[in-house]
Amino acid sequence: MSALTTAAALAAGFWLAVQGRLPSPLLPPASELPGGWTVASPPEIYEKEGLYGYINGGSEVFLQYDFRRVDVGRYRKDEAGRTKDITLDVFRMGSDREAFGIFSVQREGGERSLDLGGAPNWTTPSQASLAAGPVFVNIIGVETSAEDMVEFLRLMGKRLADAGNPPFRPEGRAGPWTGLPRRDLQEDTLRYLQGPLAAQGESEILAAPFWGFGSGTVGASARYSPDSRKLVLLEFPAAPGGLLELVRGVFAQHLAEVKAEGSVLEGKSRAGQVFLFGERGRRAALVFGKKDGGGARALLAEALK
Amino acid sequence: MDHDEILELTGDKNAAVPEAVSRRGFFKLGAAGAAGFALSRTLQSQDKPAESKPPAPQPADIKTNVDEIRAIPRTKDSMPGKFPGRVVKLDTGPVMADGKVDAARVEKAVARGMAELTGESDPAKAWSLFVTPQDVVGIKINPIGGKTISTKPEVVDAVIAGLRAAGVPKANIVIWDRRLHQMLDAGFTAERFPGIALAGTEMRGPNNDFYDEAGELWAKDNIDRGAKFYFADLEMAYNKNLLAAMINQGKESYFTKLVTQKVTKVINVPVLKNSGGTVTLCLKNLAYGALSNTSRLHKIWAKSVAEPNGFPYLRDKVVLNIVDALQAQYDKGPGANPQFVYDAGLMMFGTDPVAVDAVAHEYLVKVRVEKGVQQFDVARNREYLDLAAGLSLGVASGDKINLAEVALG
Repeated sequence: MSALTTAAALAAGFWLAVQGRLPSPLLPPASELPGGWTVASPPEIYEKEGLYGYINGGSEVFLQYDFRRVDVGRYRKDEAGRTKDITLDVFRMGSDREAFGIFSVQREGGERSLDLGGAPNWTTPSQASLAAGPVFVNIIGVETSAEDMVEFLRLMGKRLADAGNPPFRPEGRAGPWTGLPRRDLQEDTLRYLQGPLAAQGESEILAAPFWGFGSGTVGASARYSPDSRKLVLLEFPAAPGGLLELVRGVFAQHLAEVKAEGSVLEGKSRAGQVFLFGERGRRAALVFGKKDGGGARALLAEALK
Repeated sequence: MDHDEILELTGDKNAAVPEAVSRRGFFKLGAAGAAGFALSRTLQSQDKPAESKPPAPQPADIKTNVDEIRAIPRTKDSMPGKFPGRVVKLDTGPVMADGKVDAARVEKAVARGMAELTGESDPAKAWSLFVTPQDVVGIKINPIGGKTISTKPEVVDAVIAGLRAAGVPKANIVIWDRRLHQMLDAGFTAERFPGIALAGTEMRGPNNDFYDEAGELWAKDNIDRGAKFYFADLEMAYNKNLLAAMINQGKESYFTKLVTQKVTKVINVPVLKNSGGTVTLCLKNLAYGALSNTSRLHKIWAKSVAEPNGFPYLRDKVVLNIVDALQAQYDKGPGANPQFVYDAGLMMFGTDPVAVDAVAHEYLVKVRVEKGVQQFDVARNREYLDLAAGLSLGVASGDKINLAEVALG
C-alpha cells in the first residue's frame, strides 16, 4: 500500500471515528439510530478474558458460555431537559446455542416481548435483550421509556437478521431441552445451562462439584403452569455412578424430611418447598415445586420417561 | 493533600472533559473492528457437543501470602474499628421519586445513621470520632453499575458534609475508585463535586487512551510496587485491552498508591448488589477496588475478597462503612441489570466491615428467596465472611453482631 493510500485510509478512518461510525459491524451507526439519538462515544471492544475489563466479576458466567467478544455502543438523547442514555452490548458467543443460553439465564420469564422473526427477546423501560445466531444483545437504558427500548430492540433485531443470524430454535435441535415435557411448559422461562455459574443460579443444590458442570455436564430448565414449579434436566457426558448417594448427601445438608422412594429422592426446604431428584442413564432431573408435592412428582416422572 | 497531588497521582488532567477520539484510540478500535468483520464471517450457527474436561484446581489449594500479614502490629484504627460487631440498619423510607434522589432525606438518613452508630447526635462530634482536620480522607465508592446501580452522588454529598463538619478541608478529600472512567460515567465529575479531588487507579491519559504515545500504561505508576503486595499462586494471560484494566500481570496484585501513600483514612461507601448467592459489598469494594491484577482473583473469590483487607493499607485506614442500599440489585449482579434493581430504601452503618457484610448477606438472601431466585442460604456463600473474621477484621456470626434496626420516620 502506498503512503498516499495509507494516509487516505487513515483520514477516512478518522472521519468515521469522529462520526461515531467505527467499523463495529453490528452496532448501529448514527444514520440508523431512532430519531434524536446520537452516538455518545466510539465503540469499545473487549475480547475473551478482556471482558473482565468491562464487567469485572460479571464476566465469569459469560466466559462459561464461550464468550468471544463484545462491542459496546453508547448512545444519547436530550429530551425535555433530561438526558437519556443507552448502552448497547453486542456479545458474540461460541455458537447460537450458547448465545441463547446466556440470553436465557439473564431473563426471568413473563417479560414483554416483540415479534422479531422468532428471535427470543424481552423488553422493559430500562432493559431489553435478544439472541439471534451466535449473538446476544443486552440493552440498558437510563432515563429511557418503554418506547425507546422497543425502538432499539427492533433496530437490533433487524440488524442481526440482515447480517444472517437466524433465531435459535430449540425444537429439532439436539440438547438437554428435548427431554423437557411440553405440556404446561412456560416457553419464556426455558433456559439452557452451561457451566457452574448458570447451574448454581438455578439452585444451590447444583453448586456441588460432582454434577460436573465444569467438565461437560449441561442442562435445561423451565417453569411449568399452574404454579411455576421448576424442572431442571441434566445431561451428563457419560452415565455417572453413585449419583443418588451424592445427591442424598446434598439434600441432607440443606433440606429436611429427606427420604427415598424407589429411585426418587425427596426433601423439603425450611419454607416448605418440595425438592425431588431422579436419574435415568445419562440424564437426571430435579424438580423444585411449591407445596403441592404430587404435581412435582408427576412432572419428575414425565421428565424421566 | 492538594488537588495537584491528586492530579500527579492520577495524571487525570481531563477528568471532566468530554471524551474525544484520539488517533491512537482510532488505530486500536479500528484494528479491533476489522477483526470483528472477519469474526462475523466465521461465527455461524453450530451445535457443539458437550466436551468432557478435567476439573479445575479448587480454590482451597491455591496458596496466598496471607500469613505474612498476620504479624503486622495493629493500630487503634485497625478493623473492626471503634464499634466491633455494631451495625445500624436504617430504613430510610422513600427516597426515590421518578428516578431522582431526595438529597435532603439522604442527608438526614446519614446523620441519623451516624448518631445511632456512635451515640453522638451532633454530626460534628460523630464524624470527629473517625477523622481529624489533618487527615486526608478517601471516599471509596462503587461506580461499576453506571447510573443504573452505583453509589449515589447524593450519599457521597452527605459523607462530605459530615467530613466537613469534622473540620476536614475540601482539599483533603478525594473520591476514588479503581476506574476513573466508570466514576465519570456514574456521575462523579469535577463539576458535580467542585473542590473535591477525583482519582482512579486505572485511567486514560490526556490522549484519551490507557496507553501513552510510548505504549506505556498511564496508570503504571499508580500502583505501589514498593509496598507489600497480595500474592496468589495463579495467573492469567492478559491481552493489551485487559492489561489496561489490570495494570500488571503475574502472581502479584499491587495496592494503589492512593491507599499506600496518599490517604490517611478511608470511608467505604459501597452499593448493595448480589454476587451469586451472596453480596458484593464492603470487603469486596475495598479488596478489588484497591488492588491491581484482579481478574485472576475471581477464581479464589472468597479468599481474595477477604484477605487483602488484612493488609495495613486497608485494615488500618478504613474507619467507617456506609452502605448505599437506597436501591439494590438482588440478581444477576455484580453487573448492572436494571430488571433486578429495586428501591430497597436502606442504608447501613458500621466500622466493622465483616459484620456489615454479614447483615447485608442475610438481608439480601432473604430478598432472593422471596423473589424466587434462590431457595436457601449455603455456608459456602458465607466463606469470605468467615475468612475475614479469621483475620480478626470483624465478626461474622449473628450472635456476635449488635444489630440496631431503626427507621428514619
